[in-house]
Amino acid sequence: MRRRPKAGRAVLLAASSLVALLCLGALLAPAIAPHPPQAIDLRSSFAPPSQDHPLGADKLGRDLLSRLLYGSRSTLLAALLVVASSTLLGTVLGLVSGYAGGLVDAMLSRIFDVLLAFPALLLALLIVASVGRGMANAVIALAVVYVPTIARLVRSLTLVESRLAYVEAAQALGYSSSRIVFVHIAPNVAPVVLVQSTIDFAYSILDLAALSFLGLGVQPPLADWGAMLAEGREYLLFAPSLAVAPGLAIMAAVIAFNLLGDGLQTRFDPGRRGA
Amino acid sequence: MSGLLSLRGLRVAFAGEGGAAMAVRGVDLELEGGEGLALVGESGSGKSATAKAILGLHDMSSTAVTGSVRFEGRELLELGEAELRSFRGRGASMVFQDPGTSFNPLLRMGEQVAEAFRSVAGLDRKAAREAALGLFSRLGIRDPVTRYAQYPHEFSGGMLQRMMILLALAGRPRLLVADEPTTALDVTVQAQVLLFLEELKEELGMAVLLVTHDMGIVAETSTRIAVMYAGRIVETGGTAEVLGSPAHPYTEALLEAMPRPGSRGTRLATILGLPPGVYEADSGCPFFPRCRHALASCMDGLPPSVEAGPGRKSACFRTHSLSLRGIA
Repeated sequence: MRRRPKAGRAVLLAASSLVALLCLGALLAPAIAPHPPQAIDLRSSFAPPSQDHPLGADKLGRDLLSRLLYGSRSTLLAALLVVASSTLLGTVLGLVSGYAGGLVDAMLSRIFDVLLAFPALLLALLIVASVGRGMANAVIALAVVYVPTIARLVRSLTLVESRLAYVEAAQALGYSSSRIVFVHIAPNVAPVVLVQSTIDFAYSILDLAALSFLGLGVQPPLADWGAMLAEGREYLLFAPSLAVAPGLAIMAAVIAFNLLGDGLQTRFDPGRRGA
Repeated sequence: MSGLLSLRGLRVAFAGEGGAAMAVRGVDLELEGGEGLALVGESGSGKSATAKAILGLHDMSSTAVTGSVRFEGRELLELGEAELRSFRGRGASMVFQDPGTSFNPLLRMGEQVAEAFRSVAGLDRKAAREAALGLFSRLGIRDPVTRYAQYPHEFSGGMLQRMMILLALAGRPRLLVADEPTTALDVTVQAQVLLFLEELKEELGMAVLLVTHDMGIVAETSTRIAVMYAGRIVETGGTAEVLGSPAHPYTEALLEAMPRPGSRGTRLATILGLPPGVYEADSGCPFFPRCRHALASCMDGLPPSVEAGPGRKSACFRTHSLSLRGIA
């Protein structure tokens, strides 16, 4: 087996450690957070970092570190839901579109084109604005927005796979189309889908934070990075850590998942190894 | 004896950038049950397109298949996709050129074999696994349980092709179409696979349509031969008769181009020129430009297929006035 270049391996290792750290923080939040995230303590309003509040406290005296840790739960869970549902739906639609061809393909492709013509966030804003604010609606909106990218990707991969000999052999054996698509073609497009969904994960963290920042996603007093950023913004000059900390958290998460996607791509695609 | 398969005026045209690419231009062919027929011709002569048309494997959105394909009296070109699917694997099955790419690279070999037994022969999960393990044993695979969990790249090409043939036969089809089944294999492995195919043909009494460009293979495997040139069948007949005394100048030229034990050290004969392109319209005999027996009158229309002896046909204007050399 060929050795992957050291740099690629280091990136993959660093990215997956960071992702693991984020997930660990989210999972263990109840155990490691020094305070409950919603605990108001007006005496420590805008408290500077101390032993009791490692990163300080916000206007209502809520512990910043605790809110960050709890905020990662809602952010990661929402991003996971967005990516899982859009990947599942996008993969199925892409497989069907690419394999069926003809009218089915033409219709699905036009729908994807229309959805892709909107900037992702704008479309998500439109959907949330029409169905109402809240985390559940933000997740649904973003899931819809992310479907066409995956579907288009899977469609083009399916077009390539459909022409390969193993698919023709399966056809000659009289296998049903659904068997050929879901049993034979699906595993062969899975690595690329995994890479794309990892990168989508990074973008959906960003988009979810943006929706919450605009007050359309997670609602106060629940902790969420985007909402915390919006709250902290008001005190940017007075207590900068309130906005900077969630901002850095968002940045770290986005970079980590992006690098993970990049690392996975290099790992799965031998042609890009060493590139 | 009623025919198993009957092709009448079969035409296959692909939508190409330069208009319709006419790969098959009117093929008539008969195949009896249990018969071995070899379809030979050079690359691009329409052999594979003909073979795929029998199973309805052409992509109908970009391919026009016209004429008639009758299988046990049933017109296959009129079947819907669902009917075609149940015909494939049970009525007729097909194996392809490269066994290395005919299997899904990401699925375990045993599962792919069992899948065929489940999907085509209708066995349940347990029976299919038993059948697959039985197939492994039949092929002389040692330690079938371990090998069951291995992937296609861990098997040899000859083994994969024999497996593919057995898979294709899981639904007991009456016809097996083998499209250059040994082209991707070593010569020694080639012989093994052909022998294997021959044994199965005898055992199951199925007909085999062997598509090949290798005349050497034809002599060993098939009782009848059909020679294709530029999308048409130019000569059919018993293998021994056709190889011994060809009736069509193209067959003669093909046989001359075969390396023979006695021809060592001499320059190998070739057929000068190229066959007409798939976009070219018909004008006279398609073999005219390359034919050493051609007369000016050969440009007057397409040569019809005429009787050239018992059970033999040849599409040459001069069939009855030529005496051509074959191989003994």
